[in-house]
Amino acid sequence: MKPIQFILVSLLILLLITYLGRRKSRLLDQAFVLFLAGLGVALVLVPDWANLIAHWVGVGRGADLLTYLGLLTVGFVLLKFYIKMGELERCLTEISRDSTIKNATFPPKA
Amino acid sequence: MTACVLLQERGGALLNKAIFVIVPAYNEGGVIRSTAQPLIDLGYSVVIVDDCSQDGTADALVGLPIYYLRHPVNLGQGAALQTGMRFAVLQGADVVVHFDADGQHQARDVDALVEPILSGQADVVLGSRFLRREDVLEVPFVRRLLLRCAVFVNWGLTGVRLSDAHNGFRAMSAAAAKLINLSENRFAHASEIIVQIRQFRLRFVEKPTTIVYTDYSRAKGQPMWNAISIFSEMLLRRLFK
Repeated sequence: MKPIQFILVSLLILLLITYLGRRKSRLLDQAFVLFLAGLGVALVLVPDWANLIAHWVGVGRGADLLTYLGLLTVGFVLLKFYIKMGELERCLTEISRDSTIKNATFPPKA
Repeated sequence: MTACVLLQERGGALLNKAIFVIVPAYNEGGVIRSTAQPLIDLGYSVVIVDDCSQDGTADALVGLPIYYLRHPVNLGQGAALQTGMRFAVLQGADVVVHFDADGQHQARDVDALVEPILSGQADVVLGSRFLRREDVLEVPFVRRLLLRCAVFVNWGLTGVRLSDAHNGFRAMSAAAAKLINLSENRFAHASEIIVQIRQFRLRFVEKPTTIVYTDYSRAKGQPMWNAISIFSEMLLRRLFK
């Protein structure tokens, strides 16, 4: 095993343990993450598989395929955060509004 | 203290007390008193919604007969207006008016703005800088061009064609204020109102208003590039709401 393979596999396993250790996600999500981590480890250890899959789906090189998938994943995660932030902002606004109206003063105090 | 009690105390300005003027304020300590005073003098119920100012805006208002509301965190102008509208409706307002804190709007214009609502002709009245030649000339040239473009963008996004865009001076009946619910916390609320006017089939008219551009209001107002940010915010919200 080359040093970079060792580093990448270790990081993937660490991420997997951290994720599964939270025990907050659904079983289906856990299975999906387990599959992704397994696929990641396999592609790190046998890089030719990435080339094979890339050829099969019509992309020239395995590295290109991984770049495209990486960009899509980043976009998806950003979108998920954007929606989540919107939900949190709506909650914060409602809580602040209720408290503001409850504490209204007439006239204002110093 | 409710609006009804105030009515009895004042005895006279019965009608104006049921008109609640909402003034959202963020770090407007230098001008907020001079903005509120003419409204008070005309007998309106003034609601200042302080959006968590850090410059002593509250201190500047001490002693004035106004309702003072303060957000515990800074949320944005749209959120402050929605807070003010909900409060005004709870207090028994007949008409709710949106009024900028930076001194751009004229208290004497409120009367003409609310008239179509009081006479039952409209549910919402929108102020416009582009209905009278003298008002148009008050608008700086570059801003005028940008607003003309914004009118078309708003038309495309909301389906409602108006003569002005993002004019913060508007009035609505209590019934309309109950229906309209602003979820856009920042400046995109101005377009959201138009969307909801159409959604709830509210009757609306535009009324000419004079906007006074001072150095202060220009510095405090929305920077030109905000137009891009508002546009992208609206698009994203539309796609992912």
